Amino acid sequence: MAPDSRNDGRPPAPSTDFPVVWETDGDALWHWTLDDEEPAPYLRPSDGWARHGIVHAHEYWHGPVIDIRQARFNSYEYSARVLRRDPPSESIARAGRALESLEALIDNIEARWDNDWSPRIQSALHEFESFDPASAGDRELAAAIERAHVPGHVLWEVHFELVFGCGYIRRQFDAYCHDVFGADTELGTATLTAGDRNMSVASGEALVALVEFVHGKPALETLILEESWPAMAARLEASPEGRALHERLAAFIAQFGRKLTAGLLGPTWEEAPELVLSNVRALLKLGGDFGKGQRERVVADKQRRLAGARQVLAGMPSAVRTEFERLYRSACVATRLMEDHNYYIDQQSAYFHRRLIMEAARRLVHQKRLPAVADVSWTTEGELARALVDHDLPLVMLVTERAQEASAWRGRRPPREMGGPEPSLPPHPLFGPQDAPSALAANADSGFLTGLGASRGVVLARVRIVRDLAGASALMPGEILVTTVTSPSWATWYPILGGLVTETGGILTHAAVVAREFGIPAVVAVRGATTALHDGDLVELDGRAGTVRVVEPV
Amino acid sequence: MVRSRDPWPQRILWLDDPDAVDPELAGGKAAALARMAARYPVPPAFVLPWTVFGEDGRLLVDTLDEAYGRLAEASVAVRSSAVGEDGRDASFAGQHATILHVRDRGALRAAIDACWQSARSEAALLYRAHRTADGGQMPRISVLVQAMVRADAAAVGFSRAPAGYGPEVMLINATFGLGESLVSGLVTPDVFAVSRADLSIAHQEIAEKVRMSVMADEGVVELSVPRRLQRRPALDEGQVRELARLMQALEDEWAMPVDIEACWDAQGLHLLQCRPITAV
Repeated sequence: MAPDSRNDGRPPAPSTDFPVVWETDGDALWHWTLDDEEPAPYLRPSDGWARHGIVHAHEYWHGPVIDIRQARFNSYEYSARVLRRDPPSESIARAGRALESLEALIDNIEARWDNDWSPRIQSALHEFESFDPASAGDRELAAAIERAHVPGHVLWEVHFELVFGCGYIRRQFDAYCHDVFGADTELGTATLTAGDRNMSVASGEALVALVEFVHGKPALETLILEESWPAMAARLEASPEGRALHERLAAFIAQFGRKLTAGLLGPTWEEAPELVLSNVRALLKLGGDFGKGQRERVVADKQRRLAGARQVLAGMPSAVRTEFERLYRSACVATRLMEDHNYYIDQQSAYFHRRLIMEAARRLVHQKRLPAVADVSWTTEGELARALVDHDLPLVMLVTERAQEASAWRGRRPPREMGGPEPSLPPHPLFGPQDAPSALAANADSGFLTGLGASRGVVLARVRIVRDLAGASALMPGEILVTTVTSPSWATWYPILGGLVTETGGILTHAAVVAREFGIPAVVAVRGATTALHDGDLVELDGRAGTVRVVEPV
Repeated sequence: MVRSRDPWPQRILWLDDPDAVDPELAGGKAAALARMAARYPVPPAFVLPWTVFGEDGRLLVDTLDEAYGRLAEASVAVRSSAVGEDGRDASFAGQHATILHVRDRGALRAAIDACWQSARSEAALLYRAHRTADGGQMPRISVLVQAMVRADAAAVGFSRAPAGYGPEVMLINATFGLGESLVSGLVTPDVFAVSRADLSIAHQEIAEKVRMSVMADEGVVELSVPRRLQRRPALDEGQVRELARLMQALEDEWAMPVDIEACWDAQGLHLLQCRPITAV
């Protein structure tokens, strides 16, 4: 799709200010989607690792994506998914394997976290933690930057294994609630796990605990509201209650402080306790119960809804209740992990990644090889590592060029999508709530239908489609009655039937039993019979084989 | 031919009443249940024999409320039990009205009346005219009032499989919820063929069970089975064997193949109906 460069005086169409030159002919064929509305920096926390994680998770869950290509057009970043080229049969088999492994997760999601995901996260974090950038030499720092993707990839492999798996479970629970409680039900993962404990809630509660400690202590309140960091730190040390608060603040930051506040360049809570204090200040001014009542109400609402759901379920067969509880238990864990992985993976990964990059940036600025720390986002990790050991690398020139290019293109309106047509994803349990590609092929218009032989005998006769008892008067003696389901009231008509075909039922159901008594050949459970057959079709019905063959269509 | 007995007992019969096993009095369905009640898990029930109904269907005894109170069930099923029904020649499978999930005295009286009246409906008469020697004679209708089982799963079993399955297997059809959707043919049920030799499952076909009958506040309702459950077996292997064992015992006792209806709830298996197989 070549961009249009005409200018006929009308307001520019979205793509007219965005000419694209494809680097290769192949690039023009991929379906590119825009990653960000702004010109993209070259270096972002965890960026390439996340892409690796998505591709890995597709492999892990038998998904169709085998690569994600990335390219910059006019400083804007685009990516294109590369899909596996499977013949349809293999694609269905793959979806089947995916379904099997995703279904297995429902019962063992907690064990998967405890025995697999969490240990892998801990070992990757340990690898990051055991390297101290500040005390490392330039060469060591360069080597650490170059191999950071090793633990980084582990974290993001776990990330997307977990996100895809938890997403599947939550969709299954939502679809189940939809099936059981109706299409317009408000019951689902969102309402029935609302207010559950997770690391985000824990972080909020820890913050409220800080506020509650300050609340009612006039000296501390004044200090918090009027003094700023770091001057406040010194003044806190002056009183016992100030020291106690300082300790609590330090404990809070030790647990929750590895949090980036503004991308790669912004400080973490650990670096800027001021940011935590401004939250404390805001809550203190808010007063009241500091939002605790709100959470209690959310939890009470959830309990009320859950009780209502269980009341409805009490009237349902046990299989329905058991499956609800099984999915609900799993969906609660999945929801907690969906929240907690941000703490364990996203935050920590970005924190350690940033720590390495910023250390390198500070050194390069100090060596006057980089104009400012912020310019580091116009380098790549590879360049950064090389620059630490190769003092001739023209880093300043590189970052200046790139920054200038980006600002030249800033404010354009890049198309959301470009290149080739969007490849269609095969049906797969990773997308959408559908369970499985239906294993049952419907009785298509093939002229040959199968069901269950319910009453012996072969008959050649014309078909009469009758959808309800009212239409039965159209039946002529000897015709084959084709209907959805029969009830005892149909008994009147049995004596004149040549044969019987029903869409549902088994061979022990009423229609079958009575057909045998009257000696009428019958086939039941013929899916789609009332639409596949037509009034007047001449068919051969075999009540032993359970087949209906169209001999002469109307 | 209808046997004569003078005088016919004219009272409500509990299943353990010696007269309840008389098919000429209690009707085929109720008499069969009475015969099995002592040794098999049959839900508690009483019978209003045809002798307690007047020509117009009016009740001639005033002990219904007392019997209903003694049954003490939150929900009952009211089924007609015609004399001559479920005999060896003609099965009136599903013929007469069954009214489910009846929950108070008023509804019970209405249900009994509806059941009795329906037995004379056109469909029933035509059916009898076609199948029995005594033509269009008014059938004698007794009515069964039975504790309703809130079924988790229901099954129909034939101790001799209909042709095509071979004489060596018993056949079971099963589905989720009450047996109504199964008997009526509304749902395509799971099929289990059980070997008569060792009661192992010789063959099974798990069907896509789209609908189920469930007891709700407003009565018995047809609901969609949640998609995730539609292709799951309605019975586990233990339940299939349990039902097969029961059929074997009943077949031995009756000395002929039987056709049964059964269901499970939290308490276990319940036998709802048993009759000789009429045509295979």
